[in-house]
Amino acid sequence: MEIIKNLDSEKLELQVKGRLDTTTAPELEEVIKGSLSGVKQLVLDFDELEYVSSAGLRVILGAQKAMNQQGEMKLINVSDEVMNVFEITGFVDILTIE
Amino acid sequence: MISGVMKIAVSGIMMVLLTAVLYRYEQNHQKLKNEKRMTWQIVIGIVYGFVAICGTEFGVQFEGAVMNIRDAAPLCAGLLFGAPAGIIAGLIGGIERWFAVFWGAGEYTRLACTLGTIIAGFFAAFIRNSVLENKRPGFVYAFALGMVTEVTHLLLVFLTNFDDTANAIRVVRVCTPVMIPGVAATVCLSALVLNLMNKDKFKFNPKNRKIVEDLQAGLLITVLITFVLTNGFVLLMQNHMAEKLASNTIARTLNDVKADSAESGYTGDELTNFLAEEVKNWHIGKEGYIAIFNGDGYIVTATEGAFSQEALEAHYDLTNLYAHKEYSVFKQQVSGPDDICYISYIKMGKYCVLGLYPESEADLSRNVSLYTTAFFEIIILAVLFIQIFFLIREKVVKSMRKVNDDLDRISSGDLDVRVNIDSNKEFVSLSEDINETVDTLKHYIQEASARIDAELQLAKDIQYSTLPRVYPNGRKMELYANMMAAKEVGGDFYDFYPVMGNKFAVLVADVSGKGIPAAMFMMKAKTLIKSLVETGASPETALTKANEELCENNDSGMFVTVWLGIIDLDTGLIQYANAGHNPPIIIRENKELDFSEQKPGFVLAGLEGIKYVGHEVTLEKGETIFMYTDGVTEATNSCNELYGEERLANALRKVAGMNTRYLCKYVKADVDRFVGAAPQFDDITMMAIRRKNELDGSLSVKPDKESIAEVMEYFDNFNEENKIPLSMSAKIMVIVDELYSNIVNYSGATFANIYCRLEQSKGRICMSFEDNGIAYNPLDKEDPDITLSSEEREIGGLGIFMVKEMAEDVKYSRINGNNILDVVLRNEG
Repeated sequence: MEIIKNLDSEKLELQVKGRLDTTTAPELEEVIKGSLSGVKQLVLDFDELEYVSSAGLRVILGAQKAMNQQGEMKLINVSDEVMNVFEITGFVDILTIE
Repeated sequence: MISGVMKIAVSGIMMVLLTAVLYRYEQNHQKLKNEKRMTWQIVIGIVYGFVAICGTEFGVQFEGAVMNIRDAAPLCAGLLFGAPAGIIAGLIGGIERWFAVFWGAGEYTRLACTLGTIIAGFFAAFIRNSVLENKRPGFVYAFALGMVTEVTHLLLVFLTNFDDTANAIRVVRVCTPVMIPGVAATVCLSALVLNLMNKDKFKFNPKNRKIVEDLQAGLLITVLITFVLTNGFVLLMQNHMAEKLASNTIARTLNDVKADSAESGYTGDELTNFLAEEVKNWHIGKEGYIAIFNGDGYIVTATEGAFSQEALEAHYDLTNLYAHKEYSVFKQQVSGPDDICYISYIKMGKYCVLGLYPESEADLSRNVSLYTTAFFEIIILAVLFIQIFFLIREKVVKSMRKVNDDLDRISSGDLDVRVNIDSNKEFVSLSEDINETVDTLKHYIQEASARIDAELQLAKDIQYSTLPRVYPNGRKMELYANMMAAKEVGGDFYDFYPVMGNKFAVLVADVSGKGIPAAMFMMKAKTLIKSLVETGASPETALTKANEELCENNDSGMFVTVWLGIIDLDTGLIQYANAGHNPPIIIRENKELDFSEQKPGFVLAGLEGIKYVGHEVTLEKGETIFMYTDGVTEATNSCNELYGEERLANALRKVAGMNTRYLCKYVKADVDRFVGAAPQFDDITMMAIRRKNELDGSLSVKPDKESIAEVMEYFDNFNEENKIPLSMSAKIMVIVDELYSNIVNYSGATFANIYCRLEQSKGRICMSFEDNGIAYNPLDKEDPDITLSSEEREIGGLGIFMVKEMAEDVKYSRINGNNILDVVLRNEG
């Protein structure tokens, strides 16, 4: 997995590439945790994300809960495969996907 | 006297014969020594009590004393048969002697004889029990004990008759030379006869001598010398004193006569008459006499009741008498053989006054002191001997026995025994020395065993280091091999390597022998075969050539059994040759087992000039060939049953079609179950090759964090090889991630087998996740509520929920202690 961080004052954009699964989810979690202070808008760019497993969902849910407190979060460029997962798990209802 | 001694001797011999008869009877009836012991002891006691009574009643009269060997009876009973018998015999004999006075036995020695006999019984009992540890004495000891008993008896005669020492000494003088040797010889002969009957070995061999015997022998010599010197000196001194006393006594009386006659003032016939009257009632001491001769040598007068005139006149030639000086004393026999008197004279005018003083009276005190001294010395000597015996036994023998016991335990292998004897300094030091020696020994043994262990470990390390550990798992075949070394015996090995032309060589072998030599031999054989195979030799050629090489310089006579095969990965054709090894088993796709019918060739390195024959067999896709060493089929359980080929076949049927890692582990587990706690005697080696179906993918892993990447890669390869579309592969990867991470994190499994295949015709993909972790069916878990808001959502259960949603079918089963989750995906691509 590769994470490209792009911080523009209060807007944090993270490009997540590769797979978000058991092995890689902790990495993303750490990056998010370490970068969220003062962030009002979090954008997750899933353009090059291959798939998400439940471990990745846990991190996304955690980020969503955090951003509920301090601003907003949105996911962009979500592929069909990942979208399928969000649909199955009902995540489509709690996430802002553009 | 002579006839008396003869009678005593005859009675002694009779007692010896009686002892022999009773002993033979006892020997023939072992019960008498065990359960009926007490009855037998009483019988023996009564018999010998009766013998003692006979001794009393048929004693030999001699000079007013009665001689017998009564005391020998309780001694024989006590010493030769047992303490109770001795005491009973002593009591019977002693008490009867007390009452025997009423029917004619001597009153004078009544107390002494009674006590003497009873003491003899108790003495024998004490010696038998406390000193001899309830064994019979040897004849020398028997003699000494008889002597000591009889000395005590005679000493009692003195002690019970202080008032009448003269009579006592008369009795003792008569009895001593007969009764002491008589009793001692009787007991000694009885013991000797029993020794001979029992064929005891006489201990002339110094190795058989006890310490105490050496000490006693030395002591005996010293004491005997002291005894002779003391008594000789006492005798000399007492003799001199007795002579002086006699001389003074006689001189005093003679002077009285002289003074009286001078005082009387008579001369001539008047004086003669006066002296005759005067001397008639005069005595010297108690029994001494006075006689007066006139100048012509005729007797004038003498003490009344003395010798006849004729006897004296005949005896005393005055000329001879006058050869002695006046007042000087000399000894002379007067009439009977015992009537030896001290004699002295004085001249009185024409008269000669002669004083005679019997030696028996003059020497009484000398004799008494001589006898009592000698008797006491003998008794003290005996006490000393017994005391030395006890001391040696307590201080030395017991300690030595303990040392010996400890040493026995040490030499039987228990090196943790500490010798701990604190009875005296010498033994403390001995104990310390022994402990030190044992410690040193222990140290050396430990070092030696450590060396041996190290050597075995080295051999095992060599053995293991030669085994390839990376098991090939390619598209066409997968292989797994395993070798479990036994503690000592070993020599199994396997090998596999690719050879030219998409072929693969495999071999399983078992070297005879153990330790480093076997390990080195194994290395040699393995390298040799490999180099031959790699140059392109066929299995039979490789083995034939290897045999020639190995037979050279094979001084140790080791050999090795080898099954060598070369498998063509494309066609599944196996060319093989067998040098005395167990033939492998082929597991066909229909789960049938195929045992090789070919007879194996001779073992490798066993005989020069062997030509091995090549064979061929084909392994179809999905089939497995299982190779093993005899450690598998000859594994033995605690009932000494062999695992055998039938159990092996059953186990293989159960896991037919499984991947080779699982198959080998299953067989090993089955062998372990069968063997139980019994030790493993031989190396157990197995190797399996499975020719894969074209598209199947299966992976065996140890489920840890590191293995996740391996699993992912495996499925990536599967997706790539089967050109699985992205939408499908993403699902596959999500499912793998969910299920496998569960196995890694929660199952506690040590082994997982993941199996995935594309069923093109049915348009589906089948995945199987198998693990040996705790039983857990994830499908039982309740589905999470996916309608909640982000604040209320929990993440648990989402993974398995996703799997269920994505898959067409998910099935859980628990088989052979393994969790198996089968997932079927509709291939939408």
